[in-house]
Amino acid sequence: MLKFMSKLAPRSPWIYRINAGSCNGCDVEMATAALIPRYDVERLGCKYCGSPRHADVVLISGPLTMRVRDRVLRVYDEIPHPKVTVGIGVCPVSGGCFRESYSVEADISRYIPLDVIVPGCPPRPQAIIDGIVKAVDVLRNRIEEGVCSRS
Amino acid sequence: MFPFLKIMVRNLIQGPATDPYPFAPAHTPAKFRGCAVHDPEKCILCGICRHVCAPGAIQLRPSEDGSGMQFALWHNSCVFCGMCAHYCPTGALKMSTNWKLAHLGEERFDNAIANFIPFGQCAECGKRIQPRPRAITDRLGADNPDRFLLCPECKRTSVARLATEERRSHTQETV
Amino acid sequence: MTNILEAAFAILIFPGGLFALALGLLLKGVDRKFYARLQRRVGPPLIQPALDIIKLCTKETMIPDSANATAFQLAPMLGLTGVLVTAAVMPIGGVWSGVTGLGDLLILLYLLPIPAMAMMLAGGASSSPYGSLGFSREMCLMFAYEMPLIASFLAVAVRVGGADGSALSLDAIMSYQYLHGPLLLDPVMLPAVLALLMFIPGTMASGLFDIPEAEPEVLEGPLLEYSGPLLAVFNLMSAVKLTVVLQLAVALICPNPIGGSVVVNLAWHVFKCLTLLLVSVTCFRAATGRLRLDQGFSFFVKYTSPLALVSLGLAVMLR
Repeated sequence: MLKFMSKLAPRSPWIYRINAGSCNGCDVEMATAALIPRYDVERLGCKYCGSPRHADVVLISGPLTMRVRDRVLRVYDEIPHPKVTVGIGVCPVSGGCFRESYSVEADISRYIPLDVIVPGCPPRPQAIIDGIVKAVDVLRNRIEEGVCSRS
Repeated sequence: MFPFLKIMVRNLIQGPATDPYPFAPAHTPAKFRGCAVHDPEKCILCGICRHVCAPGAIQLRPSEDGSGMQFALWHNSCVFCGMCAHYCPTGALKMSTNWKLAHLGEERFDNAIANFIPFGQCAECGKRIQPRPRAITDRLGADNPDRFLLCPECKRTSVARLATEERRSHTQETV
Repeated sequence: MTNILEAAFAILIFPGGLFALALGLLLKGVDRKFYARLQRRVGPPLIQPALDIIKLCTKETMIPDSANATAFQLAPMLGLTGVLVTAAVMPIGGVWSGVTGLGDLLILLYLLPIPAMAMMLAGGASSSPYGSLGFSREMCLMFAYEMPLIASFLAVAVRVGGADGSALSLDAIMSYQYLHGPLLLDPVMLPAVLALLMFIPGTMASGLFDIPEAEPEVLEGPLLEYSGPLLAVFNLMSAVKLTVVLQLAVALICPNPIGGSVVVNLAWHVFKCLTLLLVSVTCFRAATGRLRLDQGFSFFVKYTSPLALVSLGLAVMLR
């Protein structure tokens, strides 16, 4: 039963976006990947959800500015396990152009573990879909490890 | 009235306009700017790429034994602006069309170009100079291939020697 | 004893229970697939709603500290039980005539708002500002769409009852249509049928009336704080609610079977539900955007209710 569930469950990864102080470039590409018929992510069973409580895959964009840090961490904590984090763009992982700025806390993985990274500035929609596919694999492993795991 | 009905019917008839990716290869435009590629055979370690790189994705570090430089380009910092490729005098850095860079978080430090570029040697005194690869000698040093392969000091000496020789022959002629 | 067994069977397996769940998930899948096709997308597989349910069962359940935990957990159960009972009294033309003595328009009037009530309970219990917003929107919209529903129920009852007064039993309504042809083709009932078609997206909160659960505005409103299995129960609830509403509409306007065999009739019934779904939910929500709450309210008051009242008036005059 558990195996059956862990096989089927990753086919509906619901996506939640967190903007951690991004310049909006990556957000536009994420919206493109989601909304434009050409890059239909609903084929993979994805659904963009408005509430962090419904999410499985979290797309984080932006270098985690100091102002937004605590909010991002709080929203991240609201997401039920098992969850997978995808860093969209180079900002979450290295800070990109904003690296070593006084107000930027990148690398984000000091606070939130990044499971999949999609580098690019911004990455093209296909690359984001690529990242989601990789995240689904990670999600499958997480579900197999323990159904309803708690933090 | 109700123009949307027409649109809906048309959409139904035309069928999906979705790219088959990720189930089939995606179309990549020929001029797409993806990640940079570095050709160590052409690099002369001028450092202009590191200078123009806005996010600081390019690092040049001397190797420990001092026999060359370690060139590193971190794809996780690169913003694909293409300035390095634009300013590279030898064409060692180029922008490829590769955008398939998504990787797992554990592999983040493998997602980079790391090339070792050995120093060249002065053709006369054997001192360490910037590398003078063949492809570059043919292009940049075409005017004076011998002098192109010298270290700055030997080059100065050779220029001075050439100038004095020229003057000497000149004075001899006038006398 | 047989009555109890029959009722249990009706609630747990055939018109309610498993059948309604399966049909509801199928309808949801078709809805999403066809919606995607209307937008020139490929869309999710047909079993996607079922996959969503399975996925949600593997997730952690989170209950906000400030929420009323009992009401928070009770709300989805209440809603699902309510719609399953409603599904059990729903007759299927040529297959099932409903639990004896239960198929009645008045009972339906009481049963149909239960899912909306559950949503309101959920929104109120979750202690989130978005939840309360969704709560108030759900309530306002419910008042608005109940009016045309009651009016069209009355119109149908008066039309069917004819000279003898009004017939409230679903049995009577169906046998009237077997004799006189479906009410869908009855010119007197046409406005009421239209009102009923508007009621379906209203109660399913789709298209123009996607007000209580508006994702970009109130972040799915009452469902905001739900996660894991509790959310799965809500998803099941809305799937069964979709079936119930469509089956009700089919029973009221065109319950006529086509063949003698039960299987053929069942397939025909599912086909009718699907057609109704595509017209009144999928195409409707693909073609329209969201109204503001006051606009949505006045839409029902200004346009839908008068339509149903016109039918009622005509039916009363022609009895």
